[in-house]
Amino acid sequence: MSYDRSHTGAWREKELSLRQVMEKYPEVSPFVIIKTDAQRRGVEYADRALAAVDPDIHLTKVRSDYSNKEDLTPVSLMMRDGTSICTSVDVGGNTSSGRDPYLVDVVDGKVVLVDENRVIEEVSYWEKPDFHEKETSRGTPMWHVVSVRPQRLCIHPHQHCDYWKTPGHGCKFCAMSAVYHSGNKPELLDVRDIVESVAEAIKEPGRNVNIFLTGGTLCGGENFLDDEVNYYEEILGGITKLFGGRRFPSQLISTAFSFEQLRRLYDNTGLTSYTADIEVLNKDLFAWICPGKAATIGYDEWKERLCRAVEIFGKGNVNTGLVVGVEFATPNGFENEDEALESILAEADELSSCGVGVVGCVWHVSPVSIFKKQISPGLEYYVRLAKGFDRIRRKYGINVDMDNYRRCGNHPDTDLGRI
Amino acid sequence: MGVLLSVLNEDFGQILADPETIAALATTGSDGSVHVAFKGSFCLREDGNLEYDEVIEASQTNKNLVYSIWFGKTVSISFLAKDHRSFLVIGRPVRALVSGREFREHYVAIRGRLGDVDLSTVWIIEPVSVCEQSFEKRRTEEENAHPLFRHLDRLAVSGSGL
Repeated sequence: MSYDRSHTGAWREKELSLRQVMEKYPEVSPFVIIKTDAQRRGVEYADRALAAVDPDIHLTKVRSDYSNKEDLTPVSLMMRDGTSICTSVDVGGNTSSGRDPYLVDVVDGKVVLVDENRVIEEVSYWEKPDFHEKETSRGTPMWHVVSVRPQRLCIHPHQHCDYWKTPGHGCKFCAMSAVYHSGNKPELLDVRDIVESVAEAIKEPGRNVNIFLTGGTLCGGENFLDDEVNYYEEILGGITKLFGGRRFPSQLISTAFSFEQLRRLYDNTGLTSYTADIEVLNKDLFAWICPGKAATIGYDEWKERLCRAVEIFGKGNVNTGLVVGVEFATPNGFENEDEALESILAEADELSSCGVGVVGCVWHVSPVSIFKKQISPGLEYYVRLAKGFDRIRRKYGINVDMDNYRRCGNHPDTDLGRI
Repeated sequence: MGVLLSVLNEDFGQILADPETIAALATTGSDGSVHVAFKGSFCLREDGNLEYDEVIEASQTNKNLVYSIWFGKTVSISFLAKDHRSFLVIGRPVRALVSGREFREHYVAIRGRLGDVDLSTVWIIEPVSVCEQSFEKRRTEEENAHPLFRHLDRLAVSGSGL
């Protein structure tokens, strides 16, 4: 279908509804479809839903690369099947995604997602970890240092990005720089604070299954990106000691490092998996949407570095993430969903043939990004692409353990790998 | 659900709690194949639902339970008590606990029981039907319900003189 780019309130008439997509794709988990749409459209909370929040139990405060909040709204939601919804809050019904958000409400004593006055599905709030209100020996609140998902510790050491320091080099969908400048976050986290916070967090039984690091690019150093590599090496080295020097379930999403830089990181730390997000699988769109990455590394080299990373980490332990939907951004994006699918899946197949997994994130248009006036594609497109990524991974025998529903929870396509 | 609950509550909880009870969980996956595995961690919850601790994340049982909750399929659980009474519960997975306070309680408990094992999921299964399948009970029930389903030699009167 051709994509309607109008921003009128009549969006529901221009794309398949949730119900229609679920009926059209009965082989796709309805939970995954609902999650996808909630992440696409965002949520807002009814008063009853907010009254159900217990800040002693539920996670409400978060400081990470894209978030910095201390209000009493839940950080996010979980579904009955254990699927996380990594959703954004559109305060006051802000329609930054181009559509009105889902309503989280309480009906018959249950917290539920509601759309057009219909209960869609029961959800629950993410719970707070034991370490959250503690402080490091330097007096830093640990929640400033380590953010969490239901089963993951997230560390964002560099909370700004060097690409945003060069005019015209920031990724156009990205809100990191705006979030950084709007708050009181330090640009770089203290390594001791990080290691102390992780040491405290991993004491909690049955909570965490993965340690995740990502942050903005650090271009400097003797060689390009050495500062970023060195920083991660120091952090991961400290964390590795907490596991007796052994490898531990972990994921780093970084700028695409050289083979030598990655080798050093792998050999000197307990890191187990690696991601370098290419963001959009199209060379021309990459150059337009991610100009800093394109100017300093380049599209073909980015892919080459991913493929070579498999030599170090092994198949199934390297992947790349896409911000699914930015490929339709005007004026340079695709205008036809079929053409976009064919092109993107062909490139995903090529990368996967090298052992590199391709995973998608649902683009929730950020009101503080360059693309703030863009509109994301219809739900059906996301479902079709998720099916495609899942099919390709099965074709090449690439498992999703490193980035699955427990270890990340942000990728509808990897959720499909649960069965 | 009222009858179901009364059946489940009478002594079913005790049977489930007995370590000598054998439980076999039958599930189906996306390819339609039936998978049966013996499980040792079913409990009866206060609300009448069953709970089951799945230890292995990538097990076929776990995959099939995910398939079931996704697509509204049922699973079958057969329980054989040490007194040879058996029960069949048809149930629908309604919740998968993978984190949070309740999950943690199960995680700590199962590690206390089994040692250094992990815990993938606490599955909550809502019974949709329950029947006792003990041999004598079932044989009597079926012969009463289907009096024609028997061989004639069992009915013939010996010494009739013919």
